[in-house]
Amino acid sequence: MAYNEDGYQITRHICPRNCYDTCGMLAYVRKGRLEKITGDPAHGYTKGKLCSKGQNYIQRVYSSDRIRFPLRQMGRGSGRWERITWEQAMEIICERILNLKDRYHSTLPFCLNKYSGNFGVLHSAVEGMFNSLGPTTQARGSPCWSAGLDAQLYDMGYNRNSDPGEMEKADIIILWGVNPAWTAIHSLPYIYRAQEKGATVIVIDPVYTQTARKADYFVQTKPGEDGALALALAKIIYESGNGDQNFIDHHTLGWPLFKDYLANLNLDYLAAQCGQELGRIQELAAIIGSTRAVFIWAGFGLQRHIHGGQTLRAIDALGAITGCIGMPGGGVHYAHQLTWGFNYNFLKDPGNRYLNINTFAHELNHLQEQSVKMLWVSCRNLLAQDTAGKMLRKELDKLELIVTVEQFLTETACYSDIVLPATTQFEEMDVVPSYWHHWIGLNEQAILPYFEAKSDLEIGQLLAKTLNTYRPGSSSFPIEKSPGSFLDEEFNEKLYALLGISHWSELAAGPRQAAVSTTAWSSKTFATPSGKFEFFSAKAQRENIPPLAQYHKGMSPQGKYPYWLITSHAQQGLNSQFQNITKLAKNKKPVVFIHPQTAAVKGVKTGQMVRVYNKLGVITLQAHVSPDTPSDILVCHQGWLPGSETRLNDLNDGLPTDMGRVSTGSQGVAFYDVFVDFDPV
Amino acid sequence: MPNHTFDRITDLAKRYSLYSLFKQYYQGEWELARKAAATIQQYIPVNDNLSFQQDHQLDKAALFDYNRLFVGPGKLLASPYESAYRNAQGLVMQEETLFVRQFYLQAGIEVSNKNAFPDDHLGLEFEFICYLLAREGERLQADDSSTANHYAALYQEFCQQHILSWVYQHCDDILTHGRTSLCRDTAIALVRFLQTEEANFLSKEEFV
Repeated sequence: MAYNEDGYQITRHICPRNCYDTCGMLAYVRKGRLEKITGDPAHGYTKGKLCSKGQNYIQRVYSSDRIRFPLRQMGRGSGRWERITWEQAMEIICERILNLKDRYHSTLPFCLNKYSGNFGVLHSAVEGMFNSLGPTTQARGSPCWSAGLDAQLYDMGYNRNSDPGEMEKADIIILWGVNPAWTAIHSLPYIYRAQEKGATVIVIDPVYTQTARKADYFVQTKPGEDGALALALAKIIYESGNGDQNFIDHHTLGWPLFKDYLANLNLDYLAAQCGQELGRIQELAAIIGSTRAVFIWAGFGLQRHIHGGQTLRAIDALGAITGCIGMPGGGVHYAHQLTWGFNYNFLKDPGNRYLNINTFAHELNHLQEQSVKMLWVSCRNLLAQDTAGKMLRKELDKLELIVTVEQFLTETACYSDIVLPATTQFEEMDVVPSYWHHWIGLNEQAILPYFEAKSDLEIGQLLAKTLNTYRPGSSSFPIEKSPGSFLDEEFNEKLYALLGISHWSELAAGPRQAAVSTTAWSSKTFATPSGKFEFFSAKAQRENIPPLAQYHKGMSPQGKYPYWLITSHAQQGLNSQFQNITKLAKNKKPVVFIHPQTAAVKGVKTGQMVRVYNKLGVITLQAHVSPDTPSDILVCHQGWLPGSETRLNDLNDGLPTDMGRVSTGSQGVAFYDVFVDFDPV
Repeated sequence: MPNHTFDRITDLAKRYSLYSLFKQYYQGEWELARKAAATIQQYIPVNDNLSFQQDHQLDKAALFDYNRLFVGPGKLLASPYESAYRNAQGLVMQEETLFVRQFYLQAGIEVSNKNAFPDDHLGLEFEFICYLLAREGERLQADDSSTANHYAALYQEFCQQHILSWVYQHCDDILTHGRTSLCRDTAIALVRFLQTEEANFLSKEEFV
């Protein structure tokens, strides 16, 4: 429970954003007011430190721009808002739900679109409330990591990571398509300590990132061609006798086929494809092949291409050939699901109809039966983040009611009929795991909800209660149960055993590290059907995916659109979150980073506005000339700036990645296979 | 009752009724804006031509305007919270809010729903002033001028320390961003009223 110190009531929290670090935090409350936030020293990964976003949470909690009350908009997108009570909001929503049920004799017209704005376990109450209504329509999948998750499922059978602290044991750390200096700062101390102990750090990225600046080697690849590099490295390492034959012989399946495949690969071709001199690849192969403890951190960026899953499979194969997988300080690390073993009662499927979250507008448009009439949005800003934004807006125009639960008036909230104010993690109780480290922690309620804000759980209960008042039996969602009781039902003996506790409330004493092996796959027994690392995956074959990790030529800029548009994560933002916080808003306008030579060709200088366009549309951005980005790549950091009408994904076709269906239900999005041209305004 | 006491009570009642109208206006009864401005014109001559439109459509437009300025859900264009003006970062529920809370406590008043709804909302600050003026009037009627003067002093102090330090800027914001005469004229009326109050403080100080 909360404890007191120096006049403060101190409570424990976990930042629930979609972020590697998922930090432990302490909230200091005096006279009912949140006065400061620090890192929680009891958290063994984040160790009392916070990133700039975490340090500025007070700006978010007490932002004058937060949504305070339920409001109804008279004319979608009109800005003509009318304050209503929660009771009125629920009445409007319930009347529409019941009206639709009566008209269509179905609950499929109700649609939910929710994703990762808050990863707290109890935020699944939104799905729970929907599932209590009967079979509904729900967006499913992930815009983020799907292809990579599937790739590792095919190769190793499960998404498992070593403890990030294992990096300190590595001889070589390869940070591949990941920029922890911006997106996982708590991993940097491990990397630095490894460097101090003599480890070599290699950063592979198309962009010269802040992380690249800290590396011993920086390899600037072409976007989407990391698979070519991985396979070239694998071939050279194996053929030069530096592979781990013992690992290959005893712990892998399909090696003969993969060995033949490698043998037939042309190194010059692969080197050209990934934009490297062959000598440079050979040099890297010699470094990597000279040791065993190779810790490869494969980021989400490299799988945001049409062959993203194959890319990760190629990197996995490289790891297997070096024999680093299962070795302390070694392995290929992407993301894990080890500490996500909750009961997920909220997610019990009553026969829902699922739409691919990544092609949501298209799917809404192509529904064969029972079109969607009402949309509920929570933990998402789809109008800012989805591809096919124009089509999405058209589809939204067809709906009878859009309800958005939010903390701020996002683009999606702006285009809603009703907005409902949402609590922050300081105003509600929850439990939050991580997909990178192995710690789980509790969010205690530190302060009263801001104005009339409510949690997703409370809103679900209120809606269910109102519905049943109107028409008994409309919802089976438990309306009286406390957040703690819901948590009681989400935990199970296995999870408690992993955490070494007998009740979740013990997390109030501090976050717990799950008792999973600190070295992933240390037993060398994999979760694949064969129990081995599968160079050849029959499971993939059954999914109509090549059974071997194969090189597929990626897309590249051509003709009218000679530049890649890479929309990577911002330093001070997280997807569409945080950049509306004044202290974190580095740029007042959306910025595009352009190589000096490219800028010179177009006569563009820093600060000048440019039109970036392709066949899908045009966006206006402020140029920032920077040698960090290659001459054929434009880099924009994704985010949502209030008032800005620039939507980066308006230029994105939404091409699917090759994998993602098994783990998330839908393929991912090739966010980085986008090609554009630009001109000064 | 001496004449000057009677005059003071009459004056108090007028000021109380004005504050009460503004209080209700800021607490969500936006339709009272028209009445507030009309009352102001009876109380003090307002040179600006306050001209509220009467038609219903404009009322709805005024409601949307009111919400844009004071309620949300977007960025408030004329935030009705003192801390939004006085806090360096423009946040709500800050130290500045606690100073207001402290002032209320000094007079034995506490906001219900505190810590969820900031104490320094203009509607609450006006409610507090109504309380002080009502107590002053009561004590005058009870011939307790000493306590009445205490409440009058508290009122003046609160105005000078709080209201006058931010409400003019707030009204400027309404005039900059407000789209309807209802909201804009109410802001003008409020400014005029506060200027009169401020002038009274100054004349009292000169007299002293």
